[in-house]
Amino acid sequence: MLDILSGLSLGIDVTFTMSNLMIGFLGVVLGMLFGLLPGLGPLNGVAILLPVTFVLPPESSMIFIAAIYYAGTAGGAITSITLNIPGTPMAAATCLDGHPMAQKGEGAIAIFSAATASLIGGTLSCLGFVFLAPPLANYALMFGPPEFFALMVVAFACFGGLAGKSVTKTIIMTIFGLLLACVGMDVMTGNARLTFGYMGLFNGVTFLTAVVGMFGVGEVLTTIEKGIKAQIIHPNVTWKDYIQSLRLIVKHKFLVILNAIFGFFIGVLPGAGATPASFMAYGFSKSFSKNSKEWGTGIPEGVMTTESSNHAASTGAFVPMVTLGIPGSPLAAIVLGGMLIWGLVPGPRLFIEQPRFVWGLIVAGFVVNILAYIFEVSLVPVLMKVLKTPFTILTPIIVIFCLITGYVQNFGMMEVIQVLVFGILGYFCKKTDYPVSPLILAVVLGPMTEWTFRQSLQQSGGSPMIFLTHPISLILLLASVVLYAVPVYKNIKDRQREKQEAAA
Amino acid sequence: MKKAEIFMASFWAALSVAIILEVRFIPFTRQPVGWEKGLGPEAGWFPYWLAVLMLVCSLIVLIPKVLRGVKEGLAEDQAFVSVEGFIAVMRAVLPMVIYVVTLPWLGFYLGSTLYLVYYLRAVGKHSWTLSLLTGTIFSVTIFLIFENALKLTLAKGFIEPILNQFL
Repeated sequence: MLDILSGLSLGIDVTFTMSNLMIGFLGVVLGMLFGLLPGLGPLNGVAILLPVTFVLPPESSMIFIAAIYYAGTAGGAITSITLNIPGTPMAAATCLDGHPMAQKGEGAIAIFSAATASLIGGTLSCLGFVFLAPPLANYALMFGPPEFFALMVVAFACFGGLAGKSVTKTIIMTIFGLLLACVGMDVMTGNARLTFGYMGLFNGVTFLTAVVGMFGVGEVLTTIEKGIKAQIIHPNVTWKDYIQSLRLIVKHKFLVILNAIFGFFIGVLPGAGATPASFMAYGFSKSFSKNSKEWGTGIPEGVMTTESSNHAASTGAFVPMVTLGIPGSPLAAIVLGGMLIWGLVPGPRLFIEQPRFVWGLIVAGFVVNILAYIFEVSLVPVLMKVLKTPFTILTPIIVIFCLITGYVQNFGMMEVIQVLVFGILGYFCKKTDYPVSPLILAVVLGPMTEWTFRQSLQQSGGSPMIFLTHPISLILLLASVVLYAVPVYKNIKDRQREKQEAAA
Repeated sequence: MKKAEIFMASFWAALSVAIILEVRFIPFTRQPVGWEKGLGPEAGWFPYWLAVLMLVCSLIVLIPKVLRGVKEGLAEDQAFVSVEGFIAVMRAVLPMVIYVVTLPWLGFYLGSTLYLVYYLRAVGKHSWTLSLLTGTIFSVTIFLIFENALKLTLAKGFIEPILNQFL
């Protein structure tokens, strides 16, 4: 308890400087923008803006990223409610009740209760973070290379089971990511690998080119193809609506709090991010509700449930990232890659070696949540104008930023071309249901995976039995086998049932 | 969609074959792929076996799709994208490719202006005034951000001597 308090005071020290608060506010503005735009979410915002942080110290970078993350998650709800198109994937479930509310003329109430529920979910999960992360990190301190290797495998398996429809496709993407991570100089022997004899690839494929290519250019292409045309329902916003929404929150306080707790723990599980969490929370709350028939017709409970749980899950996803070095969501995977570039080693030693960073992140979580809330609530009418920005102006600007990001990696053409190639590849992957997140996870974790694998084998003198004789690693590896097997089993069952139905 | 699926799966299969050849058989890029006694895997072991696994997985996706394609015929294939969708994507991708190809000569600043003006005018159907204004203001802004504030030198192309006077 005492070290938590001293940690928090250190975090307050880090966060409450003029420059860091300014950076936080800038992040909130930019994040809100990305959240509002349909098709682009905080995931894309973080991917595109991550390079900006390389000129900042790690603490400020993390505050900036956290601000984009929270504000983006919150902003997505406005788009879901007024447009019926999710502004972010996390807010997709918010459409279910949010848009019917807007149609009934209760759009402002929906937006305000979504914002307040987000704030509560975000704040509660930051508290959860404070109490869960330090003991988890302490426990993980006794992990050696075999345990970490097994943890990586679990992370891949978690993304595999949840990310896509087909496990085989997920595995292909994971392996492709691991192979990309192999390109360039082998750290252990110095050999040039997978360069196809081309010196331009000796530096390797940086994860950022893959990220901005797939989540920037690729996403933009997907959105262009869909050609978003939708009717905005412009609600009238008054202070009365705000007060009314607060009353509703107080009335449904247990629902909001329970969903925050639920979302947090879903977020902590590696692989499951905010999007599945909000759908699961919606499903559960609906089935346990007394008036479950009214869900989906535009009741505020629906909006509160999804927003509280998706915000909590967003924070929960940082817990395994900070404590174990494996990300809890696709977005956390990108942040993890960023941490490596900032010169930090994610994992249990972070709490000991970088207390300023960890506690700064925690306190920033609280502060940024509140900043995003104030910003959103006070500027709802202005934010809705942003929704009218034509996509044809944003598209080329986002593309240019992605290409510049590639260029500044090495100040050469090689990386620019990589961004373009990944962009087009990302578009095709999206079209054919190859999930992109496992690839990003594998590119980020690839070097660590191979390193821990080979180090374990050096420890054991080349015998792979080391992964099975260490109990924690054995349990984790068994768990990942189960995680891969469950969706395969379900697929086979589904197919059998289809055949039976077709026969009958 | 079947054709696209088959194309994608063949792409992964071809890629894994290329990697297997690269790691194992091409003389200049070949890596040891064995398991050293007492030390564990050699440099090429990890990529080699990953590529083998990727080949297996892509065949698992590919073979049933091809078999079903042969049985049912690909003629009544559902289109991969709608015609409008395809045109819209091509209108974005082609200028993007041109932007990248001409980057060494035009640089980021001039290239961005041209790209933005083209895109806003031709795809977005905005007015000339808005297109030109956005293109110019954007390039000036990123020039100030990258060259002045962040001290990152981006490629400037043939207008480098002119732009350097503003630094």
